[in-house]
Amino acid sequence: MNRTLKTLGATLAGALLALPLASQAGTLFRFPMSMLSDQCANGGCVVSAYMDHAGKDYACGTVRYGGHTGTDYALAGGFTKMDYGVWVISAAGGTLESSVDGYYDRCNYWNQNDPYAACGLYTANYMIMRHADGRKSKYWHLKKGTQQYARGASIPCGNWIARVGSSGASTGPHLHFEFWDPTWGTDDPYAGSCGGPISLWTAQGAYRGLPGITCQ
Amino acid sequence: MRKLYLAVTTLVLAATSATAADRMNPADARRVQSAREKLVPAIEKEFGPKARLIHLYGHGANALAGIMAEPPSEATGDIPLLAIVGWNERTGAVRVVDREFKYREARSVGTQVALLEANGDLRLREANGRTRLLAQRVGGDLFPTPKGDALLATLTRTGNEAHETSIGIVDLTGRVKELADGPGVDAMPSISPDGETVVFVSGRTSVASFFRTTVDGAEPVQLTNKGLSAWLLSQGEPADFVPPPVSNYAMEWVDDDTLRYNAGGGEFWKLNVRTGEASPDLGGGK
Repeated sequence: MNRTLKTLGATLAGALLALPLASQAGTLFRFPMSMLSDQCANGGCVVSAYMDHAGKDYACGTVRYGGHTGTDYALAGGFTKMDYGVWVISAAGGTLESSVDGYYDRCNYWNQNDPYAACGLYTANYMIMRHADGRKSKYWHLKKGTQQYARGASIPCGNWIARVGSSGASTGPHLHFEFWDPTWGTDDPYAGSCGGPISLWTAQGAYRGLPGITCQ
Repeated sequence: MRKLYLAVTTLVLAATSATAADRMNPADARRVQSAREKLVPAIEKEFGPKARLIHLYGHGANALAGIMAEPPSEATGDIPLLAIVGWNERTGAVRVVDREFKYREARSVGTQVALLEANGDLRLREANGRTRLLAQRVGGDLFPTPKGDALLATLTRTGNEAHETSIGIVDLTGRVKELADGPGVDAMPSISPDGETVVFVSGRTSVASFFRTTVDGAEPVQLTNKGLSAWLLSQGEPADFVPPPVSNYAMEWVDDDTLRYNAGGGEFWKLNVRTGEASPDLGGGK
C-alpha cells in the first residue's frame, strides 16, 4: 500500500514537472500574413501595436495601447493596399472553429468629415482556429467576402484564409492576431522581459520586425 | 515615416469618403454636413485642434457626440477613450457632458445620460449632475427604450468563451435582464417605438444577420441572410445579401415594423422587421 502511494506520488510529481514542458511543446505559430514580395515583404506590413502588459509591450517598449489583447499588423499602404489584397495566413494547422463575415470593411475611427465611417466594437469580420492542443489563434478585422474556408474545415498551416480589412473598431486596414490558451486564456505569443518567458513563434524575429514564416 | 503614413492615409480616406458620399441619402449627408460645420469647430475650440469627432449617438435634440483626444498615427484596433458632448441637431447647440477622455460610449436616456467606461461600468448621469453606477460588464451598443426607462445593450457577462457577448436590457434601477445569448457575438440591439420588438445582430450563422426577439426575450427569429455562410460570400455577394449595420448609434425606427440603419460608410438601409425584406434608402429624404 505504502509502495503504491509512493509510486502514485512520484507519478503525480513527474506529471506536474512535465506540465511546463508539455506547454512549451504545444502549438507554435508562423507569421500570420503573406510575406510574398507584393504583400508584407519589403516593409509592406508593420507592427502597429503589441499586446498590452500593464502599460508596456512584451519588450518593455510602448508600442501598445491600453487593454490591447493581441498584436496589430498594419498595411503600410493603407486602404489602397487593402483593395489590392493582402492575404492572412493560417499561423498553424487546425480547425476553423468560428467565423463571421458580412460586415462593412472600410471602417475608420477618426475621419471626422464623416462620423458615419466609424464602426462599433462588435462589427469585425473574424476567424478563430482551434489547434490540436486546444490553443486558438484569432484573426480579426478581415475584409468582407474573402474568407476561404467554412466553419469546421481543417486548415493546414501556411494557407491563405482571408484578406486583411478594416472591419469593426479599426483605424485602418490591419490584422489583429490573438492567441488563446485553454489554461491561461488570452496570452502574448511574444517572449520578452515585460511579457512571458516562452515565445510561441517558430521564429520570433526582432522587436518591431515580423516573425518568421516557417511552420511548426 | 509616421507623418508620411498619416498623409497617405488621409489622402486615401478623402477618396474613400467621396465614394461613400455617393451612396449617402441627401438627408444623411445634410446631417453630416451640419455636424461638420457646427459641431467640429465647437469641439476644436473646447478640446484643441487635435481632437476628433468620432461618433454621433442618436438623433435630434438629445444626440451626443464622442470626442477622441488625438488620432492614432498607425492603423490599429485601438478603441479610444472619449469625452462626451451633447449635440442638439435642431438648434446646433453644443454642451460638454464630460470633458474627461474616459468613456467608450454614451447615450441619452430621457433627460439623463448613460456613460460607459472602458472597464464595462455603465453609469447614469442624472439631470442634477449626480452620477451613479447602473451595471457592470456592459460591452456597449446602448439604445434607449421609447419611454426612457431602460437601455438595451450588448453584455459581456456570460463568462463563456464560446458565447462572447449577449444582449440585454438594463433598467434605470440597475436591474439587468438577458434577452438573447447565442454562440459568438450577439450585439447591436434596438427596440421598436411600441416597446415590444427587439432587433439585434448575430454572427451565429457565420454571416452577420439581423434577428428579432421581444422585450421578454422570446426565441430569436432570423430575419436576414438565411442560408448564407461566410464561405459562400467569398464566391461573390449573393443578390439577397443584406448588409449588417456598422453600429446601432444611428439606428432609428421609422415605425413599429421598419428599422433604418447605417450599413457602412453612411449608406443607410431600411429593414422590415416582420418580413426581413431590406433595401437601401438612398434618396429623397428631407
